[in-house]
Amino acid sequence: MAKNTERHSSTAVRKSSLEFIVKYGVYSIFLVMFVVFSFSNKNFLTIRNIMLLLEQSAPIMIGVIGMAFVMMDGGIDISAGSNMYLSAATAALLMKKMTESGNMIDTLGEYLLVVAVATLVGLLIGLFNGAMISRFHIVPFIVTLITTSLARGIGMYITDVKLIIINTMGFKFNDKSFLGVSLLVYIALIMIVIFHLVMRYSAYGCQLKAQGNNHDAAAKLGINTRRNTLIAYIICGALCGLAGIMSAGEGGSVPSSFADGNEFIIIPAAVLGGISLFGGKGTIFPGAIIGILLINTIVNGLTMMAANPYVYTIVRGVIIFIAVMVDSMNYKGEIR
Amino acid sequence: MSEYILELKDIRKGFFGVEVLHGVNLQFRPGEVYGLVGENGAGKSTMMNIIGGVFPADGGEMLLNGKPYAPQTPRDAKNARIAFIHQELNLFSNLSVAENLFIDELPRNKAGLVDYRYMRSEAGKRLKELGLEISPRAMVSDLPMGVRQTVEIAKALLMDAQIILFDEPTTSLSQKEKEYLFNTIRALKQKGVAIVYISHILEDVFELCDEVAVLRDGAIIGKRLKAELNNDDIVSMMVGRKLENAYPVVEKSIGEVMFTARNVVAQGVKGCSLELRHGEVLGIFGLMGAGRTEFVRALYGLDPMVSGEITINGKTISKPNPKLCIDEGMAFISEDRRGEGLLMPKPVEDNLILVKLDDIAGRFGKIPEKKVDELTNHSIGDLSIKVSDKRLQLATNLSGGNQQKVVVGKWLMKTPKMLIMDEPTRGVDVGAKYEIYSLILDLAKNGSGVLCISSEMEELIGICDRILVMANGRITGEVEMKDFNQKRIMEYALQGGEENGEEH
Repeated sequence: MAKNTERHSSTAVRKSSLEFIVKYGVYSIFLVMFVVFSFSNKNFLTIRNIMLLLEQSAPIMIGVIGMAFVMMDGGIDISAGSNMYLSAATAALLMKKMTESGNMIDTLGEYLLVVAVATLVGLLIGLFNGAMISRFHIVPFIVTLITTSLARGIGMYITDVKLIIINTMGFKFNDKSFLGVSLLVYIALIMIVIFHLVMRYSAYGCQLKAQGNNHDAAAKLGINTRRNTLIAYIICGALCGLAGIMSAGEGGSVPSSFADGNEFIIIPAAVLGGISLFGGKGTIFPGAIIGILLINTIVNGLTMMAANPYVYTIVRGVIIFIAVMVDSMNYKGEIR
Repeated sequence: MSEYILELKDIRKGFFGVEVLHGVNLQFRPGEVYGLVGENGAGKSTMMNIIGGVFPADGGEMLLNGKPYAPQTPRDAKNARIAFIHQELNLFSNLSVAENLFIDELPRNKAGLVDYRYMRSEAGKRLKELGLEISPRAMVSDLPMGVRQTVEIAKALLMDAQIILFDEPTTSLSQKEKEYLFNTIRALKQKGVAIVYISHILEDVFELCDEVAVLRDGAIIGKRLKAELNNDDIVSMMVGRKLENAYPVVEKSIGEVMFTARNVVAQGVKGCSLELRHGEVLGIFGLMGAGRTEFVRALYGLDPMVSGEITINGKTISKPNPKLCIDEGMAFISEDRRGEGLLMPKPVEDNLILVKLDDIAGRFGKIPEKKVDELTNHSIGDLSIKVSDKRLQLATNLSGGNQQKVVVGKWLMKTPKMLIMDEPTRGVDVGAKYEIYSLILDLAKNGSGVLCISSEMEELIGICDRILVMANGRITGEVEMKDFNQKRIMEYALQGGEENGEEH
């Protein structure tokens, strides 16, 4: 036994140094970035800019929370961006109907209805994804690739590829704040609390984590893995729908290119935050939240430095690359 | 009420249209330990899976306490208080011990969330009752394999099982852990639990079991009570023939030195050297954690070699990597056949031909199907691999011993000049062991050098020409065939053990 533990502890040393990089690497990059931007631009570290940064991050952050569930199961949902679009577009059309008689959308009830419809659309997309994946065992990548195309196509069809301006109908989030903090940030905070609890402290979260680690073993123990997978995609879909309408309410309109490619911010943000592409690993808070804040901080900082906008894409590519590489390195360390 | 806790009546099961269990009848009484032995592919695991609810039987019936029992899922078996401890562990390495123990029925508090406090204290209490010093908060990924096994057993004990099925539980256990397991099994027996114990290690079965049933080709060949147990008798029932010798005798001559390793330093290896000659089978013995596996992995470049060098065929390599080693005619058979030796979700044929593909590929890399078919058929015949359809049956569906034969067969196709084998017969039955030994010795006879690691000393004594003994990352002894002596080897293996404590 003594020899056993010795062998174990020597590998633990190797593992822990790697784990340190993986665990705290993102935090240190975050810190360095923050300091660099603070010193290079006096406007960066201002309450106004930080609030703007949080407000801008809020919708996508909710998408990242949803993605965390799917990825915890070892799956992926690349339809996140298209989901946001179709949900927002459907809600925008609804608002158009509601305002035809000339009245504005201004009551809490009307707001809730619009948000609920968008979330429901997202939920249905998630349900479709989850059903295909859990019942028919189609690879998540393929199923959600199909949904990406379907959702974008349906959205374009029902809107006639026309830009729908919604802030003139009264639906906007960017003017609503409490104690100087945008309503969007509050919504995001509530979602963080709820879903962090679900992931970290509910039986569902624990079993999802377990099956993400080893699906076969989970099934052998009688865990309802299909149901858990289905729920993960439903959560992801619904939260993407919510993210879609929040983003639309912030931007003021829904063009046909709305949220295009957002999955390529959401997924890397989750990976960057330590949620493994291989499943079974990571946290919503602080993990996923730090991930999306880091990406947005870098974009925000570059904007302030008046960098060439094309540089953003390159920087984003580099970040994704680093995040995925670290994840893969870590995964290999786990198996050995 | 019958005296039996569980009765199997005419249980039948087939896969891919081939019946593998032909009407098995067995009875189990409470408070007794039943050994189940048989060659690989005899149907032991299939039978356990049926009792454990992994898949249903095609025919026959089971009676549990006199009532019909037909589990459709593992859950049904659990509800009937039947626990199944699988050969491969079903633990989640990303979760804590407590979470693993309760994962299928997590306790909830008033808020509907998992009651971690209750779960941890309950897990801690139960673990202590079992005499296990494991923190319920410990992550499974941080536990050594042997301890993980005990966690798995704790899980069965937590559910207060009336029947516990053990499928090869000792493969990854150290001697001490094994003794602990046996004591636990005896205590369970006292409490009236019926235990079914599958193992290839007959010694253990004899030590533990009240009754031993022998399964061959999907049928019960015979049963023996503890008093009438006899090694030769059981073995001959298992293989259906008298085994004269456990180890084949092959006349071979040992030639020039073909491979040397000098002062190899790697993770867990503190400067080891060795020489291997043509036609020689060189064994490396050592206790768990002695650095055997680490040493040979470094030789083959699977793990980085910090310093030192190897010479093969007169060519000196200081930073070996598997590609270089394969090019020089080396082959490596890993101890982890599921993870590193086989493509589990691929058919047997693909697995067998894998390393040979480069040699037989035609122009533009086209693979000659006929040649593949020929070679793999040959291999399946030579090694008597039990497979119903080599193109349909996946490696993952083979029994443990047959999987190992596929791994060995794969490398033999290359006729390697030097073969490194790490635990070549782990989890393999007596009959298949003999075949694998024959293959090793035949290879040596044709002039190849073989380096064989094993934790079974008898096995090394049976097939090796020379044995190196490792302890604590160093080579502590070398024994020639004429001096083979279990006691002496063990003494070498225990050398340097005292240093262990200070190593941390």
